[in-house]
Amino acid sequence: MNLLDDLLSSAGRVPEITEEGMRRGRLNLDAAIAQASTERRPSQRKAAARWWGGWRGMTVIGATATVAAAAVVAGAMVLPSSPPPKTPPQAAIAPRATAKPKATANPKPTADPGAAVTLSTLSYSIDTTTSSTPAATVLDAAATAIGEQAGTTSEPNVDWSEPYFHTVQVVTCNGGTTTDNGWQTRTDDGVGEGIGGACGGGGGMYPITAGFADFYGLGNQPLTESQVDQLPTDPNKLWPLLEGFDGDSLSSDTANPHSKASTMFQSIWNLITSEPLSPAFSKALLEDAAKIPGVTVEGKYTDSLGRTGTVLHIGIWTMAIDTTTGQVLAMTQNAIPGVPICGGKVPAHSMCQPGGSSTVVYVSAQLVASVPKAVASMIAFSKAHEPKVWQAPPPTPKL
Amino acid sequence: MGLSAHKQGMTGDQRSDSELLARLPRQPELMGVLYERHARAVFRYLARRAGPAAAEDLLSEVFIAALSASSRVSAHDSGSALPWLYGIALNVLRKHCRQLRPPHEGATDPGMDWDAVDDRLDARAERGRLWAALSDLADSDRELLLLVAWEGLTPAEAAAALDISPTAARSRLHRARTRAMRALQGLRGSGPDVVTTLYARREAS
Repeated sequence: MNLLDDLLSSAGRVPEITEEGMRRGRLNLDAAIAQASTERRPSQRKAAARWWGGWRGMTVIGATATVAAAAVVAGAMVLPSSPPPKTPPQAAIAPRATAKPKATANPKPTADPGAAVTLSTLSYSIDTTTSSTPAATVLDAAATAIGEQAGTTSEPNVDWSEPYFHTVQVVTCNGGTTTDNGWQTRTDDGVGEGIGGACGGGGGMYPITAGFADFYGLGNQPLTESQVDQLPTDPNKLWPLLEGFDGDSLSSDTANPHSKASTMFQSIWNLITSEPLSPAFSKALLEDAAKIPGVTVEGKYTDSLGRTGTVLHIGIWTMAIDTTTGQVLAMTQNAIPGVPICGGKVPAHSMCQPGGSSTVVYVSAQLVASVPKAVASMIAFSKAHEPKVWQAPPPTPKL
Repeated sequence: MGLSAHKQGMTGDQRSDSELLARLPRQPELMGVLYERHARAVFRYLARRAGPAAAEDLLSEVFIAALSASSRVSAHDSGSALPWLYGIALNVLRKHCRQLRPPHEGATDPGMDWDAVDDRLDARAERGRLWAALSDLADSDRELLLLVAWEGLTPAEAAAALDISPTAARSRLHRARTRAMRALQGLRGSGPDVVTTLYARREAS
């Protein structure tokens, strides 16, 4: 050894990486792999795909989106809230005897099946022409449409014909846009778990368990799969549960973003968009949504997938729904100062940070036979190394 | 540790790096196997140049960057994916160093965070000697020298990491060693004061 080699040898001595460092690096890498394998995988399962409930008729779209190229019009759904009528909530609880308008039997064609639509260029617009149609009529029409869809079960949940519920959403948060893929499955104990995009998390993924605030929530209460099964499909029996879960402290003033009405609306949307629900239960949820006071009609929604819908608004929520199919097409949540979005559980790497607003365009949801291999290995790896985040919380006390 | 042992790493997957790299474009999940096999070596590479703390942060960045670069790669003739990974790691390090010190300072040293290197050389004199030996080298020559000395690559493998020809690598390596040796020998007998002065000059720059 000469002078130079001695010197380099002593200068090159470094500690080995810690196990924690190895694990952390692997988790980051797995998130990127999961995203990459999703983006590389076009709709191979299109033929086998089963559409459920409100999602029937939608097209599986090869998710080739890149965050940078995304052209979703951020904030386009952020609408000025018009002063809602001050109806006492009790008035709306009374059963409605009015005849529901008949929805068109044929859902209008959505995105052309097999069309090479890429989510990177997904865009939508809102025509804010005022409408004289009451929100209740819109929601009742959507409820009727979804109730007419095929379905044999009268339980809230579908009989899971395939083990995984795969959702694709384009999320815009604080100026950034990403495509989120989520996979959920039922566990043997009826709790349910899955993995999803980190709330617009720029490719990061987080485990979903029943403890996650947005998972099958009724108000602020997360529900397990088994608890969802116990919910009634009679809208009149469902209503007090929707109402009761929000607690008594919520304001009945519908102009208040924290109002009971706004939170009930959120509960309904949470269930509809995060669960494979039976048409009967979806119908009940939308019928109850029609009874929520203070919901206003804000205009027409159109997106580049060829879908159109009616825009509804209450509190911090703006939602586009297709009245001919009952599909929820998009949702915007406006931030309330001081109240973090995404249920307050925002991963550090997420672009969805407190103070912003988020928009989700619901692209597809379907039961599938398997998850991409990389996602499966990521779940297995995360379970082995972060068992705590996968532990289900104690069941919600009241149901 | 024997060189071949560290280049192969330890993993349950018996497939060679070459096989994995060939499949990567269609099976990105195989990057997980390469990670288990090579993350420790890539960490050492990063730690030697940027310190252990930054190395932990940068480690996954290297493999994530490799994921998007995997469509155009094959293993080095030696069969190891490490030269390729080191090449990517160098790019990640350069970005990291640019963020640490904006380039307007003139005396930047892309691909090397000297403060982090200094942290592990206890004696002040030794730090000065290392800096004296390496600071006169062109960035790519220094990197070549260190890939061989620190990472244990052959000159041909180091050439692949830096995307230069093996022939060029051999002659540049020779040049770099000669130059570094001469710089070190120039310090001999000059006493600690000169070394300290040298070191002080670097700190000023």
